[in-house]
Amino acid sequence: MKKSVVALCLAGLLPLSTPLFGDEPVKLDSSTFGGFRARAIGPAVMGGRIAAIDGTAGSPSTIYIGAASGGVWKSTDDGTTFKPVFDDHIQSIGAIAIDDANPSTVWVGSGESWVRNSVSVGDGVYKSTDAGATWTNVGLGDSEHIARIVVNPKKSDTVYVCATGHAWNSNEERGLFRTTDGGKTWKKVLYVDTNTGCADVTLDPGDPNILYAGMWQFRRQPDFFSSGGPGSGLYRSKDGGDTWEKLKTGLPEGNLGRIAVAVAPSRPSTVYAVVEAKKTALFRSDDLGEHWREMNDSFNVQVRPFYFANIIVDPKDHNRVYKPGYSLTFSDDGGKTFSGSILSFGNAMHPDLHALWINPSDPNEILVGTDGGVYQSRDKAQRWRHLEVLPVSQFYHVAYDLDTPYHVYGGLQDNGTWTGPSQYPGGVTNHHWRPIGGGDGFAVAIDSVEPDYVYVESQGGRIVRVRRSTGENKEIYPYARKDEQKLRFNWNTPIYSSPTQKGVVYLGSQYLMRSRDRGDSWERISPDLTTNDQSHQKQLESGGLSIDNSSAENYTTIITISESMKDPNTIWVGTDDGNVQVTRDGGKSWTNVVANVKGVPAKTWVSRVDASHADANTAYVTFDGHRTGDMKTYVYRTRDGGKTWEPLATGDVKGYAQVVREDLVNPNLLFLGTEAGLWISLDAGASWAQFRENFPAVPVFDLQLHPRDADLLVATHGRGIYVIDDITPLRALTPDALAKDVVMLPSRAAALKIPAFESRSEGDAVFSSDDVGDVASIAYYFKKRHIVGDSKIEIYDADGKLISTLPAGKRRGINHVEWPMRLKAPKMPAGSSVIFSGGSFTGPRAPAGKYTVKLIKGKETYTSTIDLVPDTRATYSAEDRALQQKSVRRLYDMLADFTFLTERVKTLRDQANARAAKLSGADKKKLTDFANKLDEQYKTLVATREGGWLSGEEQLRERMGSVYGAVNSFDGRPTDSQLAEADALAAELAKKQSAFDAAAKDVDAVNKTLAAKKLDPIKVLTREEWEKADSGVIGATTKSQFRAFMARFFFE
Amino acid sequence: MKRNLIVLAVALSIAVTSSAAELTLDDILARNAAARGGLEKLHAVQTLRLTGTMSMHGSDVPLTITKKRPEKVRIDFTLQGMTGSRAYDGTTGWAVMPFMGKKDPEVLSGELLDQIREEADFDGAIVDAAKKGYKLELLGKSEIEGTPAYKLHVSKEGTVDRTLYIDADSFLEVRADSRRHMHGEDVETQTSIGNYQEVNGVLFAYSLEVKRAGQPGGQRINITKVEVNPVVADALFAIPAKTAEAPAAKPQ
Repeated sequence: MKKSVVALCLAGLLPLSTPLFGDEPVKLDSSTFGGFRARAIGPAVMGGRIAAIDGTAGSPSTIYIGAASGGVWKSTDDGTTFKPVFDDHIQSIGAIAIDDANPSTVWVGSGESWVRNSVSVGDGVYKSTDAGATWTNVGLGDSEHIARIVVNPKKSDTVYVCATGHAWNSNEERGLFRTTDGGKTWKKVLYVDTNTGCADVTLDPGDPNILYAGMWQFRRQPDFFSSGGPGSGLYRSKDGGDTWEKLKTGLPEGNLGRIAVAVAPSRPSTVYAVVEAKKTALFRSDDLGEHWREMNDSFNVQVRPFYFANIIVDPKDHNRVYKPGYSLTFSDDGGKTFSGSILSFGNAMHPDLHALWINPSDPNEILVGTDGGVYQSRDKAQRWRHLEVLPVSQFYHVAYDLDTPYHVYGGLQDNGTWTGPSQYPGGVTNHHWRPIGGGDGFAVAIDSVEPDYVYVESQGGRIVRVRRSTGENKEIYPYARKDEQKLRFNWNTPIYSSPTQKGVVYLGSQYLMRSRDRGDSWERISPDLTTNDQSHQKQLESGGLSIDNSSAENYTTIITISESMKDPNTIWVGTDDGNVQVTRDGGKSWTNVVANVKGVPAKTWVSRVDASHADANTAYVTFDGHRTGDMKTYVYRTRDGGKTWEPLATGDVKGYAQVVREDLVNPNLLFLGTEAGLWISLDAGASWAQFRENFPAVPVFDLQLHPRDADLLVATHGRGIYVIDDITPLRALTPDALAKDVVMLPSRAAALKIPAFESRSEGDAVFSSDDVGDVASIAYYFKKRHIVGDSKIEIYDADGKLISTLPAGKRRGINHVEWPMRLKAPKMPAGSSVIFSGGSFTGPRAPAGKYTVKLIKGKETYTSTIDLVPDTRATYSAEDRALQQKSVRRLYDMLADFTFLTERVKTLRDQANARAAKLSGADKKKLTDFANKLDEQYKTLVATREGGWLSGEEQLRERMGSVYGAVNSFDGRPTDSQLAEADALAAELAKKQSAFDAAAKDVDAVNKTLAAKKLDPIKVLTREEWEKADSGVIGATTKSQFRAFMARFFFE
Repeated sequence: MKRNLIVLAVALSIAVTSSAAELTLDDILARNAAARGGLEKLHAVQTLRLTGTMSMHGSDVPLTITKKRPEKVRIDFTLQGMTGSRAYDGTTGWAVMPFMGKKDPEVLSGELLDQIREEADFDGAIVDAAKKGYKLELLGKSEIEGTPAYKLHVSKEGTVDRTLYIDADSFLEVRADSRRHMHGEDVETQTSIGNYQEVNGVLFAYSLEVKRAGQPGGQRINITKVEVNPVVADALFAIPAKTAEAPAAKPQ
């Protein structure tokens, strides 16, 4: 039936747009956003936490990197470049294992096992059989955290998965699992209880039936961490995992904690274990684990087992042992002594090491994964190269300023606070990013009076005022006054700049604090807004066997603040212990309204409050219960100041919620960040769709809308900052619009940006964002993909003159077409090489103003407009701009006249030569002389010498192209010299035209000769004939773009 | 009009002989051929000239693609008045790229030769696939950019590795994702195909958008004129003699 409909349409019996069955309601889905492309701007310069590394033997090794919450990255060029290969799946990675017998098979355990307070969760084990191109989830979906995977080197289908299990509550899918059928089925072969998981597993490569596993009892809570208990222990199996025995001889008495264990590959009877206990130490056995002896208890061996319990033995030297920890230390004497000390960390690398891989075929090559990315050594851990190509930075927040282009700011896990431009000609690269704060970084606020001042912080509310221009720092952390309790600041303390009150900054402890003098003084404007439940204030005792009080478990604190743009006296506050507080009188009185929120368990962490931009009584709240094992998505809205709340999360949304934002213009347009990615609603939260355009399923921790540029800024915890440029089209994509066949959508005004470029040849080992280019974006919506019939975009100026025709996008959903805001490229005759001068490849810029956009789709035409506006940074006067436009237009037209002249000379010459070949004697000479005269003219018009651009020859073409390019690449007044050169070229062109006209007078005489010999006459090319045979020009603006163009023509 | 009714008749006859829910590979190929105008009409095209523009970074480059059965192709484009060409004459692949001053043709080999040979395939892989040595596999009903489509895999002797999407409604090819090994690197290019229009009873795609997977931008080829069975001499496809005079002539 459908086929026949298409055929009827083709046959012209039905118009293609005829709806046969009426308008069906259209469901929003991810494809609706298809014309957008999120732009990752890094940064990659500081990396982000790395949890797992594996590589193949040989050189170069194929390397897989597992980021803590940034997916899997693969390099086949020794770490020069990496590609993300896991973007369709959950981004938290705990373990990677390549099957050495068949390196196309790769196993990934999702869910990082370094269970810090900000740890993400996984959803099971993945397997690839095509070297990472595609992945299948093969089970253990409730394991949440996986510490290690090992493959039996003699039986590829036998694989062990060391599942740490839930961090925040008890569960059964934890322990050591085994498959013997390549992942089809799993058997739990080592299990203690619902509170104990597997922390490490190692296998004897000589006899793969011998395995050692460290079991770990632990629990994380919002306010507390506990490592160790009766469930922990070191186990051994000698039958491939069927049976296990607990190893004790020589190991510490009493409760144990997290245990790392590794067999020495070159002498499997030697086994090392780092055992967390009352006194944590490194132990060694030389008899397959029967007897153990303590070897070392130095700082780096003992430090933070929950975060660093890892031990690696050199593949060829059983006495060379590496202990990644706070820093990297190693032993060459079987663990007796280790390099370095607490005072000399010894390495040029970022602290906090979680993964270490040694090339099995070359133990000099080592990769280390840290909180700050990946380091590579070629000299056995002496010197390190930082791989600055992995944009896996973990942001907690993002902020922006109003510079042009604006900068983004944000704090990262263990990487301080950074700022970088939102865009840059050619792309944002590593060197554009600048650190402006230390420690772990979180929120940033920009001073609304003097934006040179920004407020940054490190963990536990350590707020610092930074002056960007000078780098000056002033610590402005408030202390408790004598009538106050100790101030409690969350790990991730909120700093918030008032959107309406100039110079007002808020800071949240258990009290809401306000400063009007850049933090030089703070006033308390609330009572304790938390539960102040003292049973949850025991972080001094947190850690279990190893006390670990880093402020990561600070609790009963304010975590989120939002002031209404409609009423500065309305301020919303959320606390980590589940209170939603609101004041309507600027802080004089507060009401806890959380009891009015139905369906959320009491005390659930309030991850975000967001006051509506449109209405003082409307606010949004997200709750995040994952710290007690509740993974549901909680999003609520009140429209009555907090009295009643409606749930907004639907079955479309996945992941616990981190942030919700209402659009600044259209209150029905909502953005939601969850642990599983970014979601958008066009209907005020009634339905949602995930945004997937160049955007992975990565945790989204913060969202901001840039008020001037209409960009959506996305702070991901694992993949850096993304910019979704210009969401103006989404503001118009109402549910009604979705049901229409075609809708033209508005875009923001396009700035005619100052043409700028920087020539850099930095090689491939740097991160660079996509370039936004110098284009106006035209947006429209198709309900269905356009397949049959013409489609194109036409741009008309204010006089109704067609100035550009562009191919139209055809996909279902939103389409974006980029218009470079220029006339067609100039005409130019062929020469000995292309001309690379400045803007010689492109046409003159369209002037600022309103343009009409027509979308032609089959027989239908749809119309919208686009505004071109000057760059606000431009300093030249209107007169100078007008002179530039006049001058470039003059040269553009001159090039056309010149090209026409050149073609006339050339075609007449070629005709004369062709006729001469058919003649002899005096007639031949006559034609040849005529042709030669024209050829002499031709050689003064264009460069003809062999050698291309290296010949250096300059004729009229080269001079004209060069000055056109120069004048066309700067929007202000041309130089006097350029103007004089244009005059000189015009005069020369006139002379050449006269010379040709004079020569052409001989055509009649020549044709008489030809007629006598019954040969066709020669003809002078007319303007009309020439214009018919259009000769266009490539639109690249630089040499590198020209090269890219040629590469595409050839290779794609 | 008469030919359109034939198209309709072919389409209807297919529509009643198989269920839309369980189409086989052969059903899909038959419907695709019918949607294009039918095998008979496709086979009747002996030479083809496509004229249009290639857009990249916003500007247009004039482009001409000339094809002749069984497997000759020539692609010419012009910039700053200079014409570059790539071609295959059934035996030899060659290119002329005069833009930096080198006007002599270069013989293509290896991956570049494989590529131009692929482009020389007159009707595309899925028409008479078996005869031409392509292996086709139906991967099932899927989606491309939110539009239901049949997903096919096409391969040939290790040189072709392509995923095709056939629109489930019109049965026209709307997307081809091609994986190549270029200069030691695996490269995936994605080609969106559209703006089908009828010439001589056959539907031709007037729009191709080609981009590398995972990268922005790309190039758009927009065809403005399709000439069916123009007179094209074999010499057009033959490698030109080395010359210091001028770039290879543009086809007329």
